[in-house]
Amino acid sequence: MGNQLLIRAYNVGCGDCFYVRIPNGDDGFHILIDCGRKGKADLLRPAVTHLEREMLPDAGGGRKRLDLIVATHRHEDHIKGFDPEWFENIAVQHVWLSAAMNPKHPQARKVNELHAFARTAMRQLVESGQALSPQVELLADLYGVSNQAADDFLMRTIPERNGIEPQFVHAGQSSRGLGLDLGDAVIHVLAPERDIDHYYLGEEVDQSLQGMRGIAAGLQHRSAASTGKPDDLPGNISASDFRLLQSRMLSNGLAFAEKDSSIQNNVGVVLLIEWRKRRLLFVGDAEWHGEFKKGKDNGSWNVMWEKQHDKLLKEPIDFLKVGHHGSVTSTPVPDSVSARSQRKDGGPSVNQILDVLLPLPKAGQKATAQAIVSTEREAYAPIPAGRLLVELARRVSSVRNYGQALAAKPIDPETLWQSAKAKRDKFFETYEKDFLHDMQPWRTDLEQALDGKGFVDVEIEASEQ
Amino acid sequence: MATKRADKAPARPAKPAKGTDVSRSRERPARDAVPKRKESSAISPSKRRSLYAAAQYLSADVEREFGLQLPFNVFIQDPLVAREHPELGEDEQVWVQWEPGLADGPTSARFAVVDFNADTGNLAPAAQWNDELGSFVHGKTALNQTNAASLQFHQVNVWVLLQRALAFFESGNGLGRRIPWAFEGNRLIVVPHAGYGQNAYYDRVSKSLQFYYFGEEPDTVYTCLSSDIVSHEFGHAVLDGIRPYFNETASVQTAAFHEFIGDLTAILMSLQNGAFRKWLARKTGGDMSKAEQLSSIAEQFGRAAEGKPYLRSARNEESMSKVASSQSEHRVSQVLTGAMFDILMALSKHYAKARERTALQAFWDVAQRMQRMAIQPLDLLPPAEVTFRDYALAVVRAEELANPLDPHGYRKMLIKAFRGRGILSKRDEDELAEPRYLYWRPKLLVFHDIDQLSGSRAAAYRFLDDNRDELLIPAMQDIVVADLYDASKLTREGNRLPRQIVLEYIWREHVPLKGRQFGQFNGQSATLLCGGTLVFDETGTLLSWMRKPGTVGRTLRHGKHLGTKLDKAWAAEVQEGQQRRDDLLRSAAAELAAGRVGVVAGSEKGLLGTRLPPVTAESDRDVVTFRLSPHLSLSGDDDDDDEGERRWEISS
Repeated sequence: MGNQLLIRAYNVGCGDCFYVRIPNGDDGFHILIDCGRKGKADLLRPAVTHLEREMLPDAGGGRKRLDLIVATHRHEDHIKGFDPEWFENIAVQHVWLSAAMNPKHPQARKVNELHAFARTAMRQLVESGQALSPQVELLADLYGVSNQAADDFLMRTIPERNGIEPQFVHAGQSSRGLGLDLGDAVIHVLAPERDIDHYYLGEEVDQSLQGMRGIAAGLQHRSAASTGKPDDLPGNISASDFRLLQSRMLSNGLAFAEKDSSIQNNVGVVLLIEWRKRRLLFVGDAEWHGEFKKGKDNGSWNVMWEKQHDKLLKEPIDFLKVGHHGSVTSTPVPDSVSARSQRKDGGPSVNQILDVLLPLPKAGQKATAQAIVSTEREAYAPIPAGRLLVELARRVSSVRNYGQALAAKPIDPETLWQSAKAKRDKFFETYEKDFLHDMQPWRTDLEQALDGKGFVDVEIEASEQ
Repeated sequence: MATKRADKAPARPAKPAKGTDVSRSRERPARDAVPKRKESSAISPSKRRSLYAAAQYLSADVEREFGLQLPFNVFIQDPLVAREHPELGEDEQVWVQWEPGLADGPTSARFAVVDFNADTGNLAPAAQWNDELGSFVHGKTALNQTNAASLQFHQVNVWVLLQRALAFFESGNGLGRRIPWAFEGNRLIVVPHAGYGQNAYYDRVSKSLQFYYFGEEPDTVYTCLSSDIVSHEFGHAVLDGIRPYFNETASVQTAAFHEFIGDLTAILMSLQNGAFRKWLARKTGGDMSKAEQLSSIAEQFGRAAEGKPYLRSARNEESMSKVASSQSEHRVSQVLTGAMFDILMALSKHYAKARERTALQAFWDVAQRMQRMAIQPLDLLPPAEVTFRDYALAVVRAEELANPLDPHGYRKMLIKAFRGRGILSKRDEDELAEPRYLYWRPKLLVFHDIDQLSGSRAAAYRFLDDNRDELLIPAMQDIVVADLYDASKLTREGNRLPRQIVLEYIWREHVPLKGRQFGQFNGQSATLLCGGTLVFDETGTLLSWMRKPGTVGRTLRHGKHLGTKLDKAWAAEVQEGQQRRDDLLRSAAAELAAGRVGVVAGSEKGLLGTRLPPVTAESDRDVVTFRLSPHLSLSGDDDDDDEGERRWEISS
């Protein structure tokens, strides 16, 4: 154990549950970065149980010690598994949450206002019991009750149980400044920037929310003077035509909820762990949106690149936790593949990021970096994105040809996607078939199919330099 | 914006403007003659009703005297524009036909205003119709420019703009017929304050025109007050009504044609406004190429939205080759809008010079002419999958029919404008230049009397079926009579054109989608819409025939060979059909690759607007139908969007 850092990606479907053990000459420093899943929680409990039983050191009194929990952001595929019951036996030393989750953070006021608005709108929608189209269902899940419970657990229960305060972290902070001594390791927080409203909300969203509320208030005031009441029916069209009309008008509740869900991804915690000259990047669900622009609702990748392209992100990394379960929204397309986005103001284009952090190996050489995609193709048909995986595989050594590997077992790949949704939307033919015989980075869903272990390990050796 | 206006000094006396119905009278009403309201109410309701039945035979000023046309003061040009150019006059008097069924809403024969706000969930009280006053009121107050900030005034404003636009299309200088909507029912629902957003759209599913608002008090921008935006969206509704199958497509050009009609409607409606034309004439001396004003569609909207002074300006340099690879219907539409603007400019130059008219008179003539030249050809268009070339050929043909001797060489001017943009090819130009007769008809096997075949769809169908071979309709394809109607169009100086009897027919061919480029639709089939539009006059003379061929060739009937004369025609038809099928496959793949195809996301209480893809795809028993969606934001150009396939995922 002494010379290796372990990264263990538990197989939790479309979600993240990453255990990191940093050797420190003692019994190690144990970190859990996220514990969640999009969909049923059934894979999460075994992961937590395994973590507790097999990986964590004793804390005395029959309990186990977990040094640090990091919950990157408040979406269910990252926090659903933070269940008080499952963590009963685990003594948690530190909890890091995004500064955006701090209700008192002055520079997150507007983002939190948007989130509250979205949450109210979506809860009303769900409570009304109306039919929702599938995409709206997925959106509604993000505001569900279980998310709130996990929120409470992280913000209140864990701290109370363990006599600690949650730490709301932001870019510029590191483990040392936050009171952690990891020996020769440092954990840098790369995101979110402290001024959350400034970087991630965008003037347009802000103005829209303010404008909408202001005008609505004004209109209510004007109508209040007359007989307008909710539940009125118009006198000149039929009731059924009116209902149909309502279903075909734009819902700002949904629009803002969608915006909020993207912003929540972008105000999540991004960590860079440095250990003996190795650099390990955990990006949560950070997104990239074209290029960075002041006043825009920037993606987290854009802001990080803007701030750190000549500092902490100047050099290649040794490990990438692939963002958002392999979605194209969470890994910038490299310049070398398709130069789509170019900065018009001459600043560093976000498309350069991947070529800097995970450069293509030179001729005759092999890639040395590693990556894991914690994923499952179920909730979102296009996730993980085959083309993206193939591109990443060119830049890392933790790869496999799953077509061959499955055939060797033998496992018929078509049997792996058999849910009603998978059959209806032709998951295999549309999203998997073409990439199966190319190299892909290790992905938890297919590794699980191959060995059933329940997790994927990456071992990092100290650098010899 | 609206609030500020209410604070201004009392309105200037309204200047009379040209009425909505231009077909009847070229006389101008006397300068200050505004029929007093009490004169029109002097006529009893029953007399008014009986005069109404004879309205088509009365001149405009007689109608106005007897209250069969009613004056309304509305905002015409965008309020921002009006603010910057006060001489334009904020309010203009528009004459709207009285109808016996006018009611609260406003509600009329073809429109029902429903002031529902999706954000607040409230229905604002409706403007009330007062037949004695001949105007809409709110409580005890008449609605006019002094209470222009009120929601009820907005309701009336948007209703008047729409009534005027519908009359424009239905008049003799337009299509010369009552035009239907694309949906079941006859009233288009109009929502003036639908909620917050930089949006306005026409939605066939809910039979509605929805107008949103944005900005911040007191500078709220209400899209329902922008005549350009209202006209643009209304143009979509009209085109959908007269050519409902255009909605069923994955072709960018057909989608662009829809956008073109929207923009064209906005331009033409602007030209209808007297004060605006006067102002424009003064500014330009009759030369429209200085007319930035006119082509600045939705100027206010553009300014507030993204700092762009105008949207899709008609004065552009686009051509078919420049937009060949574009998947943005907004951009592609500019080629055709540009061509029509070129024609507008050429006409205005000619009128001002050659006819020795004053600038103002020249503009009035141009306005009339453009209405006929641009709108009347729409009836000639094929029933589905229209291309810009189809429209250009229709414009040229319509001009030929209306103006056969063409003393001023308009036909050449039109062809030149279309050539300049690459819409017509050199080959088209040469073919059009070949000497030929004005009329031609295919040799039909079975004679059908024009009065009988135009009497019902069933009769029209028999005509088509009896003559399938000659009409190049495959023998074993079932066909649908898509539409059958009569039109009475006018030409110069109010002369009548021969009555047009239009028969549209379609059939469907299944086109298998095979290959990865069709994504999840791989293995399903798409539909190639085929068919044609036959236009006859009342003697049965064929005026126009535009076709969309399929790939199925000529088949024998009962094994008998029907003679070789038609072989060549059939072969050409099938060749074009195969080209169309290839284009369809290419379009569908391109739209899928560009991430423009998806499904509609929403709930009973509303749609997720950002997830409304430009093209929707519905699968039914392995047959995919592509449809154009209501387009939402007027502020963006799709080319700038580099999100591609990412759009239809929801983050979590």
